[in-house]
Amino acid sequence: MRKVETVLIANRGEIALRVLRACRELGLRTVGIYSEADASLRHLSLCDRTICIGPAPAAKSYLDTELVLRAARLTQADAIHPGYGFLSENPTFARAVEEAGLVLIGPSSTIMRRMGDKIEAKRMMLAAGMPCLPGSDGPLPEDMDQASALGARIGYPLIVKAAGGGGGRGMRIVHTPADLRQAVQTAREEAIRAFGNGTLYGERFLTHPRHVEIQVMADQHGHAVWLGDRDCSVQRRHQKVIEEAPAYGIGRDEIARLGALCAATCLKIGYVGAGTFEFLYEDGAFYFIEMNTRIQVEHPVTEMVTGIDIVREQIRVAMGEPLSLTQADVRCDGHAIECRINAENPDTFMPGPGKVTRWLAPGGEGVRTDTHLYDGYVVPTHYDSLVAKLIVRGRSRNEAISKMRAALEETEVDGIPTTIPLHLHLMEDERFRAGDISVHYLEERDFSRNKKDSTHGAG
Amino acid sequence: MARGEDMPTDIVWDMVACMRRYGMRELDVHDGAMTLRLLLEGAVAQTGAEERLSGDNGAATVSTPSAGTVVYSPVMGGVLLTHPLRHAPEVEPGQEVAEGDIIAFIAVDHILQPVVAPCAGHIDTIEVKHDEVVGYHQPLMVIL
Repeated sequence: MRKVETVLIANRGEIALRVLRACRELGLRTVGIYSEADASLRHLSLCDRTICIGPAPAAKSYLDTELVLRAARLTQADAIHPGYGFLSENPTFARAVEEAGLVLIGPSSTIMRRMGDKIEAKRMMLAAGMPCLPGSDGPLPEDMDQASALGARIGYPLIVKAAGGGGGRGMRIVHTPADLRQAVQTAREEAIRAFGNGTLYGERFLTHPRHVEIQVMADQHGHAVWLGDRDCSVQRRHQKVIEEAPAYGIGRDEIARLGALCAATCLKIGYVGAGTFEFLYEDGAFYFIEMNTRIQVEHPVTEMVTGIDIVREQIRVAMGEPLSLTQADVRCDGHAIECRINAENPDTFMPGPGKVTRWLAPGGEGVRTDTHLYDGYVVPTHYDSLVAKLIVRGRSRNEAISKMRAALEETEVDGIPTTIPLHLHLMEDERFRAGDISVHYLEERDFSRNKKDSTHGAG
Repeated sequence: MARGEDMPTDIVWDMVACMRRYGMRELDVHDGAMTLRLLLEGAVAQTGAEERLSGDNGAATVSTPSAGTVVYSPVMGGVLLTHPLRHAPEVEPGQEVAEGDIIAFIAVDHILQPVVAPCAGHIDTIEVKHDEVVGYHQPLMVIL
């Protein structure tokens, strides 16, 4: 086990601040890296050491493995926390970190590579007894006659997806057998362009699924726990917009069986660290879609109902320490909701970077704000538009919704557009309040601009 | 501009990097109906234009004197004011330099990247110490 004293935070924005807080609680030194456009990020003034690694474009800074590793060497960091996005699920980066003799706060590059390949991931999950959608269980044959036969076996509607993809690219929904040829061709071209890999797979497309996921945590000593479930069905173009814990209206016994299966699967496949098993849920059945091998944006809702600091635990297990809790210690108390506040026009979703002239976060019992915003901060144009996460916890879902509405109303932000008006609208929406939603809910609404594009899954 | 399409701003940042490399303080680009003026922090606009490249946070945080040319580190690495095989530093405060003279090195692993004087003048201040770790575009020296 390598002793870790200094953690390099290879990310920006709210998650960099979140990781920094966990490191400080653990008494670890921190190194903040930043691009030239990011010198005034909030967490940098709290880091023990900071270094500018490159110019503003992410490809020349946060996404450059060589620069991140050089920064670690120059600052004598022993461990790297990749956060989410950027290099967090890049197995080549993970491998380079391992080869440099550093600790990656995440799973091994081997498991990351296997989980990143969706065909391989599904094969492993089927072997572990995880429920999966009927599908090609391997690459879709290039030969269209064979592909058609496979399509008939899977059943329609089905979805064709890029094996190495994500974020909705290289995906096509096929409603009838006659549409298959065209869909495969388009998806393959898109996949080659976007991911340099034209391998596709197909599986059954669900028409009104919910997105339900299980948070897991495993250490290097053969212990794994599941920390509860989340519903992330409110999505726009495969990006989650609102997340909740627990997933309301699903039997706790059912969730507990699924959670235990996820924890057991971690042990079976040798998974270490924080992870998320993502499922579609329709008509009382779960279907595995993918496993995320990193901390997720929505982890705070689980923290709010369990009282467990997931990032702290993630760092501890990466350092080789055993889990500080057992399954019996994990309890779900109340209901938590997170709204992702983006610097975007709430109607068109166009990013609106600029100077924040006023920022006042909401407060009160059961209200948490994870953000890097402050008065005078300039939201740069180069990166994701997530600027804050508002998280509330109530005793019931209704109480949480009321609390969220009040928290959204209390939040004051001037200078940039935000999605707060959209969230306020959703908190009042009858369908949302009744929990009558699927992953297509947001796209079915008036402000949806791209109904045709709806597919499974989210980042 | 849609998220992810950072091509136009990429070009601006490349232009800023070039300006720093060659010691330019101000750059006007005219292209048909479009005029773009880039003014580095510390530079004084000749025509009273208020626009500067401060839309992002980084470029505006380094305080640079209004006189003199700041020499920035071209890459992240370790500064060597003295070449490992020599005894005397490349330059010292007060020393005259010609444009293109090597005035320091940045060590990136085992490779030394020379830092050259962007203009002629004399070394006013040296902002870093030998062996210090510097970030990308960190000020190293000022040439007057």
